[in-house]
Amino acid sequence: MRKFSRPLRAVTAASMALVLGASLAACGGASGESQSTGEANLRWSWWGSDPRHAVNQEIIEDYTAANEGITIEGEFSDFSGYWDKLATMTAGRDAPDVITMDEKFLQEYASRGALADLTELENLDLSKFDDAALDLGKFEDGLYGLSTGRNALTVVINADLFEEAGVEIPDDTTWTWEDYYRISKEISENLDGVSGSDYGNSPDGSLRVWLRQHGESLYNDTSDGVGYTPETAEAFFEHLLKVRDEAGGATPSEWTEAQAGTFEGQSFPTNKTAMSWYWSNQLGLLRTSTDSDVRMLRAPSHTGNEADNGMYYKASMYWSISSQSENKDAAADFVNYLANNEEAAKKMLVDRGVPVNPDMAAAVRPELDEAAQSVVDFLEEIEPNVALSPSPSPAGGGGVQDIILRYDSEVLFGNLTPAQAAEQMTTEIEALIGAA
Amino acid sequence: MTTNIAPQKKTSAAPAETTTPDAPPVHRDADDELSGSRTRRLIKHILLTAFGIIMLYPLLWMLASSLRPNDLIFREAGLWLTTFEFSNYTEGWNALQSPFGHYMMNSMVVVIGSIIGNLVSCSMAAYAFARLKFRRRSLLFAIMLMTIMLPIHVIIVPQYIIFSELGWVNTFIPLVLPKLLATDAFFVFLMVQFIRGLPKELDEAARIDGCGHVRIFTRIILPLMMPALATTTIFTFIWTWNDFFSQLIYLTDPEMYTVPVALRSFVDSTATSSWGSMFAMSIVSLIPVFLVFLFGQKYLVKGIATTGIK
Repeated sequence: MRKFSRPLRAVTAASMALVLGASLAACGGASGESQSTGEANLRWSWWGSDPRHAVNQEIIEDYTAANEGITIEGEFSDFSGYWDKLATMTAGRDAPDVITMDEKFLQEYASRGALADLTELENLDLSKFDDAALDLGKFEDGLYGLSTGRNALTVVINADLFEEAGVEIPDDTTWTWEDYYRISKEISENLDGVSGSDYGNSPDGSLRVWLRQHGESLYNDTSDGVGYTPETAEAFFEHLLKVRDEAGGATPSEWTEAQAGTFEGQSFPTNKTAMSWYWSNQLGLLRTSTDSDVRMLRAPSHTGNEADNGMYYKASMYWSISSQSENKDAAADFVNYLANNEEAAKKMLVDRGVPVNPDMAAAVRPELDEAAQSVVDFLEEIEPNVALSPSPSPAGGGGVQDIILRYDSEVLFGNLTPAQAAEQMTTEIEALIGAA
Repeated sequence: MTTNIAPQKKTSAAPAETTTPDAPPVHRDADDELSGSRTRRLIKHILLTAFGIIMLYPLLWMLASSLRPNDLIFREAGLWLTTFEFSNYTEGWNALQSPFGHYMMNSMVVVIGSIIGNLVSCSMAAYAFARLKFRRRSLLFAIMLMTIMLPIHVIIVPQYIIFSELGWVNTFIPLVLPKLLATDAFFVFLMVQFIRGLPKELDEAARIDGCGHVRIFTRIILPLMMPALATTTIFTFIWTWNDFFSQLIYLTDPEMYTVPVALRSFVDSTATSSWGSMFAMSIVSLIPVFLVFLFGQKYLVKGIATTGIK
């Protein structure tokens, strides 16, 4: 063992030298001069699958054809690979100029100074974006992400299964949680092999809606702790148990398994559940996979008043600009094109949420199929009752969704009581966002 | 189906036998042949076969799924096929921007570059560590071994900075160049062990005949090292072919994508994915690995066995 102590010290020294050298090199790279807007090579990164790549390539071609001297390189991968890659490139001071951001990582990147404040860039016109939409991308006093479009977590119902079960579709402006349990129970009783409802497909989304119904939120305003009382979280877990025991909900094992698997394996898309929770942009997919008449409903409330249903808008994605970019002005001009140009909007349609800019939303509407049109209409209908949207997750918040999902399952499997789960979950979330 | 299982099982059983040191029990089995060794052998074979089938199941399921229509894939856990859907293969081949063969060619370029790099550099480094006497040899050897313990996530950022400063991101250079610098310490170690097992008298005889180090290395050691070189070739092939992370980081243009990165393009976690096409192309991408293993197997066993036993 003693023999190893000398080599170990040598290794430490060597690795320190390496890191030092690397960071010096990084400094050299970062001090690049900013150029004029006239000529620039931009890099634009996004995640997604093939159809989105094709659309983005078309957008790049349109934009570069109209703007001589500008070239844009697209860089893309799947969602999980995207974050590995972006983290490496950012740490290597080689981040793309225009970055597609996600709500979970926005504060993480912004708080470390990796993103540029969009309000300081003159080429980007924000006049069409209302405050609620801009708030989604705010961190401290700066705007670090511009919403590409909005979604909402909604109750989705399979109207064909409702009809088969002889259950009437409720009036979603006045329905309460009691109605939700009753309907779910009736369907489970009337149909073989179909459960009335399950426990949702966005663990953090469902919890957020519940907390908002009680006037609380997942994170506090200063983003350094949770914004709810343990009692409300406990009530949420009790609600899950109620769905399981009194409302004929899907079996916990079935549901947990589906959460770990693929979209295609979940019970709602395979017609085994009549009522569930999905993001509004998934409506079209749900219709194709179930081959049924899937409709969106507002969330039920405790009071039967739609203003208390706790629903909120989430930015589907964000456009961000790297603080390391040498061509921030050109990048801002391109983001402006993405956010405020009808041609670009018509290419993207509602793939990245329903555009927040009302002109763009109006421009894309005629191009959409019926399912997507109903999403646009639905989001407009709920607007008067959507209170302020939650600010982006605090740095470190990327792992919170998994924590909530784990405690959902622990409660559903009966391993923890709601009170225990609420307490432990809170401790874990606080540790995660506090540590970051 | 059954004819398919046989050769695959053989390959999966082979490394298990060589990597786990179960050689002594085999000999003992042969020794007490009189006392019911037949039943014991029978039980052993049944266990090994059952284990082999369990290990193979995911692979066979992938093969079966690649022949199923997309909507059936996650509803069927069995291997029995009711329909044969070859369209997954034709569609998958052409689903991405370039035909899938393009990505296989890219992978091949990286793999061949890596193999050449590892063979040339690691064997020279190994010769130096095993045969040359120089100051702080054991210290340097220990440092080299320690680099095996560094996970890629530790070195990827400094490495990325270096390559991006040199303007080599989005080329194959960051993937191949490190191999030319004997950075795969595992192979250096493997070869050092192998060379140490060769009788030193051979070197000395060559020295008396007037050979320098270059001649001793190229004429005496290298020809004798064939099993170790073959092992290195095969492992480099498989590891580089399957490597996802560094290829994801360094290759940004879809034209440059290698097989593992291209396969990921089939999956989108937020929407429907073309699983059938992905499974079909996964099967296609396994063929080269399978062939290399099939033909390289006996060298692999030899290479590892001779480095372990002195």
